[in-house]
Amino acid sequence: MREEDVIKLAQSLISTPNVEDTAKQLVQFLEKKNIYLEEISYEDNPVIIAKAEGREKKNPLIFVTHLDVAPPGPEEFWSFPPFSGQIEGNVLKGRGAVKGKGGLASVAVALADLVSEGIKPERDVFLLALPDGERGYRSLEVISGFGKGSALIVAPTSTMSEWSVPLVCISQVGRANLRVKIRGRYAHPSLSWYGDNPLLKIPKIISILQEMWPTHKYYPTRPKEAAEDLLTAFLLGMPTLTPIGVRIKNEARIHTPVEVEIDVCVTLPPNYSAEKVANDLNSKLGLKDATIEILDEIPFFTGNPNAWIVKELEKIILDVTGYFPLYEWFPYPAAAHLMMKLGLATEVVTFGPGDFKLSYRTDEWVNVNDLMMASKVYRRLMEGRKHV
Amino acid sequence: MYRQTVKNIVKTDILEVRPARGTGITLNNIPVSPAHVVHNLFRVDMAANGYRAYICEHPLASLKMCGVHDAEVVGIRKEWDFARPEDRSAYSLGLKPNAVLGPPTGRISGGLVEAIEKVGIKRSGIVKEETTVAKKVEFSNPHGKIIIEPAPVGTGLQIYLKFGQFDPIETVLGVYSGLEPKLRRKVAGAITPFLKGLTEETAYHTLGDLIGDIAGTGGVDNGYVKVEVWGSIHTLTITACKKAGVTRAREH
Repeated sequence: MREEDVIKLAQSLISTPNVEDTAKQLVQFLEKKNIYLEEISYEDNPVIIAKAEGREKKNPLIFVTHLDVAPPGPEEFWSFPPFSGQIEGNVLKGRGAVKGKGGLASVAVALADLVSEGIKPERDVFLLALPDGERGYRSLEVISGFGKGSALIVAPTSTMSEWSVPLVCISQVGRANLRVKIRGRYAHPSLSWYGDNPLLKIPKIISILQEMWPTHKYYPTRPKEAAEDLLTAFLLGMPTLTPIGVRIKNEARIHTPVEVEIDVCVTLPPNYSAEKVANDLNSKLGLKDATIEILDEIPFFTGNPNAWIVKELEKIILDVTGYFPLYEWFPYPAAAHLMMKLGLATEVVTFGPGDFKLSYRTDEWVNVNDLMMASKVYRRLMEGRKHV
Repeated sequence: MYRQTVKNIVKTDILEVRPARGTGITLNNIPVSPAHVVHNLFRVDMAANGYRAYICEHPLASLKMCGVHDAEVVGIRKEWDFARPEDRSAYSLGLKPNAVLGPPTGRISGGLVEAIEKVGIKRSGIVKEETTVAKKVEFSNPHGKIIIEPAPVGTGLQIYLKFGQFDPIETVLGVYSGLEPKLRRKVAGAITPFLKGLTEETAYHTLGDLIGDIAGTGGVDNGYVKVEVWGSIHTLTITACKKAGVTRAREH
């Protein structure tokens, strides 16, 4: 497996910000390698399915990747153009390098290598490249026809450094979005104490939110210390509760606001429901004018630690890297639930290259060694028991 | 001299130490051995025969600091604490909270040293054959450097430890007496830098880790150990134990 193949493909995928162009780059690469391809459409977006036929009749191995990336945000916050895909030393830079396109390149090259060497994988291998990984993987609904398989979700779990070892995520945390509504009473802004200004309650509420989730007992996040020193292996699956939005209802702007809404994203560990979190939050807040609404909820996904894919990954990772993997949860509900619900998978595991901490941030990058490590692991997994 | 075990069952919030029925230490039914180590970067985890134990170095350090040679350590925790990565890992593998043997406070002892001192230790009637490392090993990695050498019977584990910028610690872990009581208490209460950041306490916590790994996991009674570390001690100590091997110590 050649490093330049992985880098070249990852660079070409990163350089195409939109899903259609990324799909074209991927198709071009796979076609050149004579890999069977199918392209279908989901809400006018391309869904790419690559297939390599297996030598044994076993449940297929399905790699779940995505073509889309998180928006880069204002370019002036980046120290390099976000879609440049530039290489500096051993580092590949750009939006999607760690989350999405780096992992996709690792799988595609592994599959292409296997096929071009004339090796049939142990079982049918599918590579799904979906247009909406950053928006819930709904396009999985249009996929059918290959029966239930073992799914590997390609997402950043593993970075090889002196302070890290590969992580395999058997389970995925759940997630709930809650809305805390605090009502107030009007007053003239110059005489606000005659009313009840809900804006003034926000600091207290945020502070309670920060304290009520156990994570903060162990890993206090301090302003201006963005926890770079905290190790990914400790952070990856930790439960979090994060304010993600505030809305203020005050259209006229001639009086104090009548209502403030704070949206909170909560990760759900096992046996936690959105309702339980909302009740806990309600009792902690103790505000008579506050209500908590559950906007949506995806429960915790408990994977199967005895699945063949988990056992096989452990062996392969030990062989490729010299380390036993650590086991963690994936920190957000990626496609696991949906794969199971749609009958596409009997088991799901998440493993991929890169440091999850870099996801969604500006100056996103991935170490090429991580891409190569993942690509080798994927290839071995596809190959299965030694081809005779 | 005879092997030593605890007089009675010793209990803390997270584990029980039972008087040994045989020789050696078991953690959640896993015979303690470098061969059973499956992780040694952030902590020491062991797995064997379908069992698994997380943060093994902390109970092992507590036992060795008290001069215990033989014991059965069994986790008893029932509640998960998912802010702890070890708990998340154990849950992922379908285990119970009792797989995690380190205290949630990140201290070495979590009350175990104090509990052993209270219950006391006893001679088991089995003669102890003292051990040392089979050969001198010297190596370094990005976390630091270590030298470990054989030493004769009765000399104990002679330790020189320098952690980062902090003053070096020199001490001897007696084969039967363990660590001298004042230092033992200091090490027992020292918190991991993962939870507190780097302070002088880190050096004492690291001494506990070293004792847990070399005397505990490695089963080395006598030896010279010199370690300079600025990262993970376990990558040095466990690797050194694996490379050096263990053998019967010679008389003076």
